[in-house]
Amino acid sequence: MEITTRQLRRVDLVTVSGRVDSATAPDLDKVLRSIVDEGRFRICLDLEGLEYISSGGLKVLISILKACRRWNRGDLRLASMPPRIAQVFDLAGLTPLFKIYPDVVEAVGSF
Amino acid sequence: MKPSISLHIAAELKNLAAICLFVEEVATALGVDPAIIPDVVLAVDEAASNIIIHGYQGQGGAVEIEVGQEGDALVIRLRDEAAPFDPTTVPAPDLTVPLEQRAVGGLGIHLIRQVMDEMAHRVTPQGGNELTLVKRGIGRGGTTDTKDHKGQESETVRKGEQTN
Repeated sequence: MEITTRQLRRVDLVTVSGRVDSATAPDLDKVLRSIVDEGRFRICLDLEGLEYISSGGLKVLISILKACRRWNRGDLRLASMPPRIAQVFDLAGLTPLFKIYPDVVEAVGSF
Repeated sequence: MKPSISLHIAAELKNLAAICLFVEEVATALGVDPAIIPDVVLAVDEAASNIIIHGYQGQGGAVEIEVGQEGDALVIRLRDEAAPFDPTTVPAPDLTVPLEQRAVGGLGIHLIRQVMDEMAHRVTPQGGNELTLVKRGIGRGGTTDTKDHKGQESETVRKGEQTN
């Protein structure tokens, strides 16, 4: 798993690629949590390079989504979700929870 | 009946990727429809994650994953020596409740139920657990008899075990 972060003017853009399972999910949690802890609650997560996600990774995303949306202060929005990842979101029943955009430009522009 | 192939590996989270690769390779060798392999891999990952995190509670141990074909079904058995726990008794999460009230637990078991046709648990004679996952309608044409899985340093791979 690889993670990059970029602080834009109004949004934090995070890309995660590779494999997010129970072994690597804590690292993703750490990165996203540190953004929230600094008081920034508008996060765009670019999933284009994400090859695999299991419930360990999904739990992190749910937890960060909750933190961002608290008191309507922000959101965690997803971009460029590969088809297999979209299938897993569907299987987990998570698709309706997230705002999902075809690409990063739209996701960032939506804030 | 074709022989099954087993992987013995330390119950550590860092081995999840190796476990997934093993299942993917054996399923491919058995001629399983490539469209359903990712679902099977996900189910085994979730089951193995539960064993490592909840079964052994991070204390370490070993897990054996046996993959075989029975008729048109792919049968995967995960064995461990953790305290007996039957994951089939975990209730399904309520996916209709609002985000704020949604519990994050039980998601892995939910995913296993979603993608597999059968999940069964028994306590082994040694006092550990055996979880059996079954996926039916996997397609035919496998060549498992000539396919060997290359074990990694920390693994012992046994080949040619009977599944029953």
